[in-house]
Amino acid sequence: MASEFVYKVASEFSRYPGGRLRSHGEFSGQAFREDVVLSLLHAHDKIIFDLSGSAGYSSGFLDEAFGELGAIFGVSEVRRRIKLIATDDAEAIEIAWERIKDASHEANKG
Amino acid sequence: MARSQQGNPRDRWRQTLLAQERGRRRNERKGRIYSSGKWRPEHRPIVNPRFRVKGKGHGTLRIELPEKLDFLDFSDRDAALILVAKIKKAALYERHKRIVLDFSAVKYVSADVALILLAEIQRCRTYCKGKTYLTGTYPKEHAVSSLLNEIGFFNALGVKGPKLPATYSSRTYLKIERENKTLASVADNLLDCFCEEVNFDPDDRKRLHVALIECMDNVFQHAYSGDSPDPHLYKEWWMAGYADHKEGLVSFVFYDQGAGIPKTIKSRKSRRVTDFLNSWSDSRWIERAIRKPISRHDSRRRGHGLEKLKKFLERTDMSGTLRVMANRGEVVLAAGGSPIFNDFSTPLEGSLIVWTLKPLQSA
Repeated sequence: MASEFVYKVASEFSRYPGGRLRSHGEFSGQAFREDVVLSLLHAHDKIIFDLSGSAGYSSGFLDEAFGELGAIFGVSEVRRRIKLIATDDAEAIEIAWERIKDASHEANKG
Repeated sequence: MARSQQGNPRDRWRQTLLAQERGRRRNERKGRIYSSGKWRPEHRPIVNPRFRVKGKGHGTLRIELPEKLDFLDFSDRDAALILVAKIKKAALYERHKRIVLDFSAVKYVSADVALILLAEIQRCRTYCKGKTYLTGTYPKEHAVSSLLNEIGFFNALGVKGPKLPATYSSRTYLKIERENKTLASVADNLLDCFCEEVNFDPDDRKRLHVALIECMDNVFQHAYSGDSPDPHLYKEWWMAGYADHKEGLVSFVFYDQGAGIPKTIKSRKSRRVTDFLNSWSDSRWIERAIRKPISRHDSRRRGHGLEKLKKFLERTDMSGTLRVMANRGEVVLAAGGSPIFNDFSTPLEGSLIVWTLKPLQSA
């Protein structure tokens, strides 16, 4: 039986998501992917990431946090296992999925 | 301590800021830095080990500042940039023992020029480390003194700000941040300070917040080169917000002393492309970078940061402009309008990004 887990980024990671890489500063997309996302994917089959309530997500954060998953797992597997929701930031969800698709495409090409 | 509930919102806001400042100073005496709503490690600028201020210091240099320091008028812009270059040269290359900035003739300084001046002073002081004594005379104009005081200019020079008449009421309010990391909380705190001036729509505020983080991240990734022999403060950026109550304007400024957007892009393009686009001015390169993603990786995942700068302007209901100045070029964008390209003879070191908003009067 598939287990579904809800993770609220603003309250459980940071209300102020930062830049792309750990070296750029705190609460980076790389830190989120490595410390949170991959662990959750290991523990649960399906995860819902709630992006609501944060101050905003940079393109670098979304690319490293979620886009890179497209390169690691492929877009269809990511679609099967991850759902992104946000009551106040539809743009962030759109950008995250674009990056996931782009990463998957580039990984297949390369 | 009970805070007075009387007085207008602006007075209460100033009282809050004064209380925060007292708290900051108290904790600074205890070795902690209070900034952006929380205690965080003291900011430490990173100098370039490849650059050293050489030679024995000699003499005093008096630099007379022009009457007007502004970027909007071409000749004023040139005068401001020549001044900044002069200060840098005198402190870091000519090694004067003492540099006196003569403000007596200055009648007007715009906030973005003040920010660039402050950045230069801070850079010179970091590199010179007391070997060159940077000081200045107080401006005669209260408006200039007030602006420079609020931006921390006199503090950067290590002198007390001038005393203004009790009846003087500043028409501007300015808040500045300086860091060398991507810190989203700093951007959020800056926007918070202006929530009374700008009644942000939540989506607008989010877009502007994201644009500011993109600027920080861009500086980290692209602005400064590790191979450069120049006296940079690595990854350093300055960010300011200022409100001119008389003009009804609010501006947010982001500045770095890196290579500049056009130089950075050209260095990442192949020789074939840059030769082909040899006729492109710096302003065209800036506009191209803002309009469409450019990435050295040839990846669709990268290069989206600068696009966000104008996204905020395009989607907000407020009237306003975005001005991006770097190297010898400048692009001015207004929502729904065509970009205005300006190119100059005197280059700006780094990149300056200014959003100027004229918030709509609320009903």
